[in-house]
Amino acid sequence: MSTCTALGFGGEGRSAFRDTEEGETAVGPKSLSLRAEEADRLGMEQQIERSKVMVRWIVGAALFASVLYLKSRGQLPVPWPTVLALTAALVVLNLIYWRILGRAAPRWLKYVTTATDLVLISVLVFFTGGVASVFYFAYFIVLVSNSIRYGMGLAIYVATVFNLAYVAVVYWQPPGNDLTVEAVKILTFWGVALYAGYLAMRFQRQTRILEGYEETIARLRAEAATLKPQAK
Amino acid sequence: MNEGRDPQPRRRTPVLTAPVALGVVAAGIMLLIVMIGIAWRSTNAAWFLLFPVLLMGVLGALAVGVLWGLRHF
Repeated sequence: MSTCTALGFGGEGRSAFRDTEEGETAVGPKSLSLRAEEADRLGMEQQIERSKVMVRWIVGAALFASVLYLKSRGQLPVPWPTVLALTAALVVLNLIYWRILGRAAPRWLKYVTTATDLVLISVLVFFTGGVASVFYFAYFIVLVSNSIRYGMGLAIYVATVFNLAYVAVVYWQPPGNDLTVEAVKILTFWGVALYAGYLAMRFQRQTRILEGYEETIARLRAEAATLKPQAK
Repeated sequence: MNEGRDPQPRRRTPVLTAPVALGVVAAGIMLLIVMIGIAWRSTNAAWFLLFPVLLMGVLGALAVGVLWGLRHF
């Protein structure tokens, strides 16, 4: 995403650039560099969220097809109105996100999209057998997708929202008195979230180091180019 | 000499200020109270499944409190 394009973002994007680390209005080269970094970050988030919208269409279609197949074989007692309402909710939310992303990628959007994804999956899990649902794996799609893209912060956020949503599912549809298996599932999810977040953090650090090297090489080349004519 | 280069390394915005650290520690204490309350009074086992998220919150707040106390930020 080019800086010029990203600087054209409205609302959240513009207000995010206003202050520098000195707490003054941005004017100098340092603050311009911060503006560019912020614009790049917002541009990156816009791209990521657009990609998530596409993935949501694909995963939604796959889940819908799975529900249809299992229902046709009589293995899923979920009523039609529930299936259609969930699908409609997914479609409407995805269209709203796409519309928002046409203008900008507000900072809060990634938290909202992730939370709604997890809530929709929890509703699906609830209506397809609760803790015994075959759609439990869908939580991991959201986890891996977000933690790889955004890092440790989002991984912890996903695990927190999952924990709360899954406890709600267990509370409203208890499998029995012994919840050891459910506790293991939740702890496993936390483990995967922290590990995925850690790997993403390492990857981000290495990417930053690489960018630093690239900048240094470019600067040294420019300096070498200015020195050559003098050497002659 | 390259004039475009920064004379000194850029200082990053502080990630944690005193009010934020205080708020996080206060939230951690609240979560600890909730944990103790669940352990003490709850009759439904499902509430205990909230322990991972509560524990992570308490440990996170503790870490922030200790780091702030040691003037790490």
